[in-house]
Amino acid sequence: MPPKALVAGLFVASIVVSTGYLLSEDNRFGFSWDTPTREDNGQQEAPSPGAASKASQATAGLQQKPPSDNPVGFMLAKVADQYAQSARYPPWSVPLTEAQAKGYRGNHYEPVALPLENGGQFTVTLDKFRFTRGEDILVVASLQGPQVVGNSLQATLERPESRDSVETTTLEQDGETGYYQGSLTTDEEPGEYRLIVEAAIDGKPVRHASSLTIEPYLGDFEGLEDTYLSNNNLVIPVNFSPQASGFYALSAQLYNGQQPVAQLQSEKRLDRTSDTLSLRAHGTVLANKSFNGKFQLRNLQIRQLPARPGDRTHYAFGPEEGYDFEPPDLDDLKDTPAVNPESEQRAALLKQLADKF
Amino acid sequence: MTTKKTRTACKIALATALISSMMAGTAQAQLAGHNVILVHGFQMEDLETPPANLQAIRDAGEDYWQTFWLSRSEARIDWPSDGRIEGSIAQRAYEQIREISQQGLCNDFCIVVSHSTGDLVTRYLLENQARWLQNEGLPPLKILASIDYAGAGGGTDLANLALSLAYNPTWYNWPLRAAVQAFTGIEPEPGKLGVVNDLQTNTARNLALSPNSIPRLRFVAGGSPYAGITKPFISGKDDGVVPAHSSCGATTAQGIDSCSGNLSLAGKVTSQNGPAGLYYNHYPVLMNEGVTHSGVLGSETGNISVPVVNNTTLNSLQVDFASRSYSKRPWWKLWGSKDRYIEVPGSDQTDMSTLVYSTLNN
Repeated sequence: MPPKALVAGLFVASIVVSTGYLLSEDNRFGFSWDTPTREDNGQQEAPSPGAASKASQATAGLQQKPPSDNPVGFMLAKVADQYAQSARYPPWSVPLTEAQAKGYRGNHYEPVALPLENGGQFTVTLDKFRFTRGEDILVVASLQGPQVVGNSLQATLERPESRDSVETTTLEQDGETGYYQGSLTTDEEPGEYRLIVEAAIDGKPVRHASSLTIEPYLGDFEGLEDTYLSNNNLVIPVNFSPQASGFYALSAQLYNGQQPVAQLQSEKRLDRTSDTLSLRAHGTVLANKSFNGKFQLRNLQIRQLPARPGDRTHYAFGPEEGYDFEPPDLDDLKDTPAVNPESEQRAALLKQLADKF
Repeated sequence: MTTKKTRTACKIALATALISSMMAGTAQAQLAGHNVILVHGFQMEDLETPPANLQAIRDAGEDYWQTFWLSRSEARIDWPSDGRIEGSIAQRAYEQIREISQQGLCNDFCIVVSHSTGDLVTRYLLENQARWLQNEGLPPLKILASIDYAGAGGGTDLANLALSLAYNPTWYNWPLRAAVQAFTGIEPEPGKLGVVNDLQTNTARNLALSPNSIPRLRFVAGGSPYAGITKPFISGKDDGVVPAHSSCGATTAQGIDSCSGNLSLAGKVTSQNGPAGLYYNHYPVLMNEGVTHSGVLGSETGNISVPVVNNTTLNSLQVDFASRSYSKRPWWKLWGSKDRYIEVPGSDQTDMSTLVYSTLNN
């Protein structure tokens, strides 16, 4: 009996292995760009590239050139096509998706984690990256893992070049959340600083270091003037009284309710006699769309741009709640591409390049 | 006499051939008919031994691109890695931008080729160059596009870690320290990190971030240099130095596994943890799971490149990428559907730089 069982077992095993071998297929080496493979899941053989293009061309109209057979060429043609779409918008008024609105909101600090030796993690979080001189820095730290930690941590602000400590505070543990938190002041000279948070972990000091900046006082945001339409733009004049003359760039995000509409930018030389920067939302981001109620200008950020290479850019930020405003009637705005000769030239050159494929 | 004439004729022929080949070389330096400007990445040697002068910076810049792009470029913007972007890097870079403007090299639109930190440096320069040049009465550089290999514009976790390690004793967490040393080339010290400071994810993502009109074409790697020791410390997929969120041009520093939500770095058609969004005018073009961070510059072959296809329609015409893909089923998978892969055929026979250059100069 045992030999028979052994033979039967071997037979079954050999059937399984042979079936597996026969069913398995790795046709990587047989792959050919021009020779489509037959799918074995009941689908029809995939049409050849030419056939696919021809079929699509028939539906799309014969005047169009079929897409490239070369995948790199196809991708470049795709970029040229997408860029031609983006060149419709002037660089100072570009449409925003929600993800882009998040990415361009500015002054964001993503929590920074330091892995610990025992598999734990030491994380520091700030509510922003740039602080205006005089503001408090709220520091929140957390320690995860099996390590033994004290009830408090030490946070120090340090100048990167001289390594001088300019401010120190104790982060106390919150009994409910377990987070450690405390505040530092920012009365120091503007510039980049390092935040060092030190914990005693299993009796040994471990330091978490990250960067932040202290920005000088640049001036005050003083609200919006009346908005109006001009040259297929909704013009939004923003009052900002600068502390010093210089070249400034203002950016803000235009929202309608919770919907991001556009990222707006404006650059201008400001001095004590000129304190208005006008943001313009072009017809391409506003026309033929339905908007409800008031618009909001959020995440206002003004930068004093570096006059010379090597100078630092200085930043100031608008009110957290932004500004609400009632727009004029937008019916006169048209979804016609902006006049932007350099971008148009660029789009034409990219298309010319892509047409080779 | 006859021999002499023959020798002279041979010499003339050789000289002519040499001159022709040199001229041909110059002509071929352009990419698709446009002058090429190179912006290199982080050079770790500068942290240990800061370059003495501009000539030293230029020599290092020339070495950086030897593998492929040097002979295919008209100009470079070289910068010192021991400096900061809003500091000596901007100053040194601008000296070269001024020369490029004075020579009129970009009057008919240039193409920038950047690598790694060169992506972040380029972004900063593109935001400021026009104003600085116009202040001097010079024409701004007209850039057609930037081809960004393994772009570090969104920073890297390794830079975050380097800063923390600089403040901890040398015995602390040796696997982490080994990874950071592989990246920086030095034992990190607070005052010696140079541009690594700018590569911290928060610092990079708060620098010169405004939408820009210049298209950024992204080429993304996923290989394992340094025997893979850096990978565990970088969020999401990475090329051993730069995370995919950075090289793809994603709008946040959250770790991602691919530039596409339905195509892996290896080209497998499957749901992926892709970016929630991309920065304006950022276009991922090719991904390559096998090539390493510096291998993208022409030194590595044998790796498949994958077109970042989110949909296969162009000008309302459909390309059936199914016919350009192959399916494979591993030996252990006895039934069920095979996996479908999309790739650039034959891309493993070449490197990522040659692939792009030869396609554009086709």
